[in-house]
Amino acid sequence: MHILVFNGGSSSLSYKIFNFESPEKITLILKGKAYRVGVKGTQASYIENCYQGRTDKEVVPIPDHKTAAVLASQYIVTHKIPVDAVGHRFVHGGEYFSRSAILDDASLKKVEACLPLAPLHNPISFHVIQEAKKVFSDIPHYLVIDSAFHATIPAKAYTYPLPEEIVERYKYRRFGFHGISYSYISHKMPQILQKPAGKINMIVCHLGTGGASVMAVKDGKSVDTSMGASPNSGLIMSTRSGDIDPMAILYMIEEGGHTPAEVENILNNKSGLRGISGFSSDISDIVDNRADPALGVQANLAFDMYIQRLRGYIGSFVMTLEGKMDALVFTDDIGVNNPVVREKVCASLAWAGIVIDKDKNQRAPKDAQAFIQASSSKVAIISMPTEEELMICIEGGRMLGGRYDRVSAGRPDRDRVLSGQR
Amino acid sequence: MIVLVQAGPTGIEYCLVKDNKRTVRRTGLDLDLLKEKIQQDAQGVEIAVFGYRVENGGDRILRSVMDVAPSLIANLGEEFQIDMDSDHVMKDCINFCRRHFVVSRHVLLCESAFLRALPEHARRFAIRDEKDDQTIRRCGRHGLAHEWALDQCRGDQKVLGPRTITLFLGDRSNLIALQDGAPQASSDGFSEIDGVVSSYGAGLIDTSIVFQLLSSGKSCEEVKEILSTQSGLLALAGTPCHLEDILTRKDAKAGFAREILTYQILKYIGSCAAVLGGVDTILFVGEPGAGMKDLIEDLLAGMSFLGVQPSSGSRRSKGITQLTGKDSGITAYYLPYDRWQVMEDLLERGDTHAAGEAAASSAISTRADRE
Repeated sequence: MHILVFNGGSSSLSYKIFNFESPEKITLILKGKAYRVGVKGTQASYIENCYQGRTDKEVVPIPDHKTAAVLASQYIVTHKIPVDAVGHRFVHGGEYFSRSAILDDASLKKVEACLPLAPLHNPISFHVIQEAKKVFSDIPHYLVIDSAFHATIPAKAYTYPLPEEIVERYKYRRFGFHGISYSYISHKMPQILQKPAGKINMIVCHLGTGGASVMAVKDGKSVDTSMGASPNSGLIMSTRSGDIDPMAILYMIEEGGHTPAEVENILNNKSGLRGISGFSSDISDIVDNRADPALGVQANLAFDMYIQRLRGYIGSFVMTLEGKMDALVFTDDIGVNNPVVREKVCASLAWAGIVIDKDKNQRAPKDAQAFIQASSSKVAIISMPTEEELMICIEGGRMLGGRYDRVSAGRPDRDRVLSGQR
Repeated sequence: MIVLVQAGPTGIEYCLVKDNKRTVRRTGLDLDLLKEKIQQDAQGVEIAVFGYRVENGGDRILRSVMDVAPSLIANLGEEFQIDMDSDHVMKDCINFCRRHFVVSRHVLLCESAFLRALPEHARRFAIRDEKDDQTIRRCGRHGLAHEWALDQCRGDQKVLGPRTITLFLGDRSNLIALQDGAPQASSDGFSEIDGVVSSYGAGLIDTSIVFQLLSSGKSCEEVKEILSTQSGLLALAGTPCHLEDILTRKDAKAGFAREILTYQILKYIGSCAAVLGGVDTILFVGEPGAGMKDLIEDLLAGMSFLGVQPSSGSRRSKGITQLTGKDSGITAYYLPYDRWQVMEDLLERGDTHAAGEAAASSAISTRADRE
């Protein structure tokens, strides 16, 4: 069964086609990505496809994610790559989705209702869904939702102590995100730890170049996480503030003269590492400039704040798990590419039985899983890449039973695709 | 004889301490009446010291105990905060008392000063300072209680390890992580709302909630009102309540409120432990009331995996109770909180900063330079 997976980022669209034979036997057929989607500037947008050992790069204007989806579909249809199902990543399912779902008319209406819940993410997925359904109209489409993984969080962790009528009206609660990544990590852990999934306790740090979060897993289920009702809460991120006193927002409006929309933009796009350092949103830049005479003060402040917030959340989740942990996992770009971050974070966690091996940490590969704990550590420390698109494929394979009758299915609307109609 | 004063939006409360006896009175906002009552209670005895409790000293009042100087109180009550009225009232009260009780010493007892010593990376939020406005910082509350608790445990008792957490339990609980007595992290934020859920305050919430409430048509004032007077334990328990109510009521809503409060405090303890690299000592500070013992026991139980071994509680001097046995991984103590006693003890400690005016002037010129 060939599954096409779409994963929209703020300025990119990743897509892959997998041949799904079973959750344990999946091969990658096509890997593609549209870059600089909707980004104005001197550098051009382009789309890149890796298929059958070749990499094709096309420099072409990509003003929005709809265009990106059309270009991706054109490549697939032109190269006659069969597709039996399409999986879509969806960040915030609110109260509408507590698990993955087949996209039918009813669920599409729910998707539209969810658009305001994550205005920076959900509309992107929706546009991609719309275009993909036009081209691949006669095959199943399904959603895999980031927030759904955290549906198991107990009430004491997800409840915001707000007036009941407000909670009811707006459905405020801690939803959590990065669920697809966490789902992948959880899927791999039984094999890595040689322990049944339902008995695994761990803390996972998904540290991305965009968003970042931490999750506590007890008996294989999410029981708390650092992101809340929106993706801008919890950890300090590249351009997002993470946790901040709500009164600070009102101060910025009343005393700073900003509109609410301006403050929201500041907190989402001009804060975090960028806001503190004043020169970069990239943790690698921050680390590299810590000794710089001109930038060092701000770089160190940004780094120290990033580490302290991350340590704090790990420490809090050690309490959530009552100290019973099998593993501390670091994943996604910053999690696997920055041994300095791992080392600094773990330096203050020996009280929780977490002791890092500095040498193993430095030598940990960036493209594979590695154990990096010292022999005295009571907890395994693992650096491992995440595979969100693969997880979306696995989820789809499970939902669809792993097989699809390609012969009796309709063909994609080739004529519409090749003529460039949207 | 000393007079300790604290203000609220609807009135002033004072405690007159004479010969180890206390007289506590409450007046409205009529300062002439206040003067009359104090003089009546003093019965002709000279008042040596007035101690004024101030909530938010901003970046002018740099120590918990400082002699009053005009420059220190010039902007009192004008800092952006939820409850401006108490400091605004206190400013008028201080000026009045200085005019009418000229031979007495007048001393500020500032709740926020203790956390001024937080390192920059712990005070800041992850936002840029606009036009060098450094207002948005963690301010801290109940600094007097935390500092007092440390004072009580220092010296001969030698109960403090290098890594200490002080935990104030009350209608608004907060925690401070200390390394060798210096604050390293706090659960408190910029306002009284942030941090642990409180009687009426929401605690730490997602920023998107604020934006959504504003976009639904609510004004900033209305949002402040919701988050500071209609949320918290009140919202969870369904009725106005103090901490003691949550701890003693048997209904399901109160039980749920208590579960959330306990969970949040334990998470903050973990967060403090991660910052400090472990914990040697925890000081619980709270008013001795119904349910307090049970709450502390629950919190100690949540730390059992850290080797905490509760004991039946042995009394030490100064009213301190040791809660853990000698083999416990973390040593825990309980100090009963009495706000007047805290103020009195800090005054008597004599940490009044004679150079306070100079330090304050320096802080003010630094701020003026930045502006």
